[in-house]
Formats: sequence, structure tokens, C-alpha cells
Amino acid sequence: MYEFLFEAVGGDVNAVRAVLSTFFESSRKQLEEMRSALTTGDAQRLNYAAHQLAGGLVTCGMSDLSQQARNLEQRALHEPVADLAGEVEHIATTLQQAEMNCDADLSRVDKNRKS
Amino acid sequence: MNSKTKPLHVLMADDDPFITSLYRDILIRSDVRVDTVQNGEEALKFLQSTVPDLLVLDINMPRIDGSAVLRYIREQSSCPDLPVIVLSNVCSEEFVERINRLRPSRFLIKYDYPPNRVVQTIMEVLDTLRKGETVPATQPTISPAPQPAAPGSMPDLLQHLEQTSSIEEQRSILLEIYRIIQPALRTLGGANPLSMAFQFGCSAEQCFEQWYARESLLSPWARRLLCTVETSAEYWNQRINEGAAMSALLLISNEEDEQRRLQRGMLERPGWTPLVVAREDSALDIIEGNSISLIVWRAKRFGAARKILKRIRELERVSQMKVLFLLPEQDADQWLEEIYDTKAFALPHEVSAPELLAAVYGEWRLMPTHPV
Repeated sequence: MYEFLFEAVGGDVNAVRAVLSTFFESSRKQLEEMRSALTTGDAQRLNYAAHQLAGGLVTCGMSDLSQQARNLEQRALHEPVADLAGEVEHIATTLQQAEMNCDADLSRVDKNRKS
Repeated sequence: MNSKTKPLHVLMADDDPFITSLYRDILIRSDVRVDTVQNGEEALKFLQSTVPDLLVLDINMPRIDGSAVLRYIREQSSCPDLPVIVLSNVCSEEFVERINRLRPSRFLIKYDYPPNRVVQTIMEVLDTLRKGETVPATQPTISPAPQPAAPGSMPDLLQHLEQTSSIEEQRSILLEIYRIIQPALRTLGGANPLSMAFQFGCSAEQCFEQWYARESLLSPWARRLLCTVETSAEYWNQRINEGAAMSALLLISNEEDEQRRLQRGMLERPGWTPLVVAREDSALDIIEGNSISLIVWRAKRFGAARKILKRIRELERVSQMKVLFLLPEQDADQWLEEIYDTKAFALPHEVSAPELLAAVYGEWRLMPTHPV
């Protein structure tokens, strides 16, 4: 999942770790923004936060989750915002899992690269 | 790099601090000076005082978006030839065309360009600049439209549609198919049987045959799609047979013949109470004061109906109420957008009173867009 990031930062696992730390922090804010948009029924705000998150996710190599955020971005403009709470929470949970597994995933990718 | 050479200067404009910090850290390690801004307004202010060697520009940013920044650079600034790499995750054809007219040096779409390729492209441009050469513009790569359910081409989507038994997944695939075919549908002229059939799951073949006789306009896969969305009457019949739950029907229509025939038809059906109003603004009181199970709404002008529509949508979420729209071709796009993905059904405006009764009785095989 993080191979491209490794390549981008020159193969330094600590640099990738720092990048991902920034990403997870940034994504938490975007998810908070989405939850807030759900509460206020603000479709544009939800669309924008999902758009931002999708860009970060794909940059980190989380393509499937990025696709879900991208889908949410589109749906926010066409569907009642309140109906999308499940999707937001699904993305949040998946991201939380990715963050929990991050160290293990990084070690695995690093090991594969070196072998 | 030669220590005597002045480092090249890159300005990164992106509203996501993660993106700017990622590329800034990478570029700084390559002895590139990097400044970052988080919106178009800051980018313009920056450019008024300093002209970097390269601008890496996001498009979808608050305040002033990237396309306005790029337009300003090309048309009004003191640096119209500034090399600009657009890095965006918007990728519709219309968007790409619009940005292309503003002559970006490179156009990178995040879904196609992982960070290592973005870095590589930035480095290539910087190398060109170091040699004192100009950076030619290149054609963008256009990503496919979002693929929420089943990535792939139309045949893949249709195949997936046939294979899956999950209603939610079918709906998601149909949404995707609709997004792909929407431009073509619009060229056929507003709301048409295919879009109706797709969006509301109403009896596609009948809708198609009765409303549009021009079958040749549809390709084989579109015909196949019509067959695929044809669904059973089970849901609708079940709702009708619940009796008490389906006790009141409200017709919003000013067509007397329709009012008379629908009332008579519904009264022949035990357990139903037909209510009729001619004007949309009168309907709201009835909706609030009665437990309406089904609204049949012969929709007229879109603008006048927004208020009642909003209330109906609210009620729809908390009750079992269903709405059957009879949509006019005029304003149909607006209607479709507004009631897109509600629990509503829709039939073309031209449906006759007997046909409407048949629809309500389930002979037209209506089904909801959402499973209940």
C-alpha cells in the first residue's frame, strides 16, 4: 500500500512514517469536518471535505478507500446528506484500522523492499 | 547540485496541508526552495510580490480556486509564461478541457499519478528549467469517472450487475452506469424513458415503449439495461396488500378527468381513501394532517413545488409514505436532480388515467429505489 510513498521519499521508512503521521492527523480533521457537515446538512461542505480526503488517500496509496471517499464526494451533491453518515463512519473506521496497522504495514513494505 | 547555483524556487498551492508538507519535504531534500500557500487568494498575493520558478497548483481550493489563479497568471500577471504544474483530483472531461485552455505545463491527476511520479515530473520540469529551456505544455491524462461499485468498462458493469444479487450493490452499479450514460441521455432530450427507468426502477420496457417509440436511439447495452432494471411487482403488491398502511392516497393534479377516474378507481379498492387537491400549495396542509401512504403528484412547474417537495422529503425519511411523480418533459432535468435517489417513483407526464391506476395497483411493476 505504501510502496509509492517509499519511492517518493527515497526509501526512508522514517520519512514515510512522518508523512503518514501528518496524513492521519490531516484526515482526522477532514473526517471531523464531514461529521460536522452531516450534522448541519451541509452538502457542499461534505463534498469538499470528501474531495480533500480522497486526494490524500490516493496519494498515500489507499486507492480503494480513496475511491469510497470520491464516491461520497459525488453522492453528497445528489443525495440527502443525512443518508451518508454510514459511509462517513465506514471510511473513518477503515482509516482508524489503517492507522493502527501502519507500523506493521510499513515494516513489511520496508522489509520487502530491502529483500 | 553546484553549491554556487541558486536553488530553484517552487511555490506549492494546495489546501490540504498533508499534500503541501509531503512535497515540500521531498523537494527541500533535493535542494529546492519551497514555499506553500493553502488557497488561491494566498497564491495570488504571493505572486504579486514574488515570482517562483515553478508553481504546483491544486484546483479545488477555497476562496479563489486554482483555475482562477492560472487564468490570472496567463492573462493578467507579469509572468504569463510561468511554468505551472496542475495537480488535482478533479478529472471530468469538462474540467480537463477548461484547464487545458489555460495552458498548464503539466496536468497531473492524483488518481493517475502516485507521489513518486509527481515528484519525478516536478524534478523533470525543474531539470528543464535548470538548463534554461522552456517547459512545453503536455496533454493531460483523463481518469475514468468514479467507479463506486464495479470498476471497469460498461460491459464489465453490466456483467457485474447481472451477477450480483445485492440490491444495494445493484443500485450502486446502476448509479454508476447512469453517470456514464448521462451525457448521452441529455442529448436525447431531457428526461427520457431510460433515465426514468433507471432512476426510479419503474417498468422500463413499458415506459420506454409508450413514451418513446424511437428504439433505434438506444444501443444494445442500453436495451439490456432496460431489461435489467425490470423488476418484480412483489414489493408494491405487498405494500398495497398491507391495507391499513396504504389507506390514504393524495392526488395532486388539476386534471379533472384524472381526479374523477382515480378517485373512482381507488374507491373500488377496499381500504383506500383518495384525497385530491388541484394545487400544490394546498397539498401541504393535507400531508401534515393525514397519514398519507401514497402521493401521486402530477408535477407542473418545478419552481413552485420546491417547498412541498422539501417537506415530502422530510416525511419520506420518517414514514412509509411513497411518492409517485408524473413528470413533465419540460423542467424534467431539475426534477430528476431534486428527487434523485429518494424513495420516489416516476412515470412520464403523458401517462393516462387508466395507466396511472394500473401503476398504483402494481401492474406497472413499480419498485422503490431504496429497499425498505
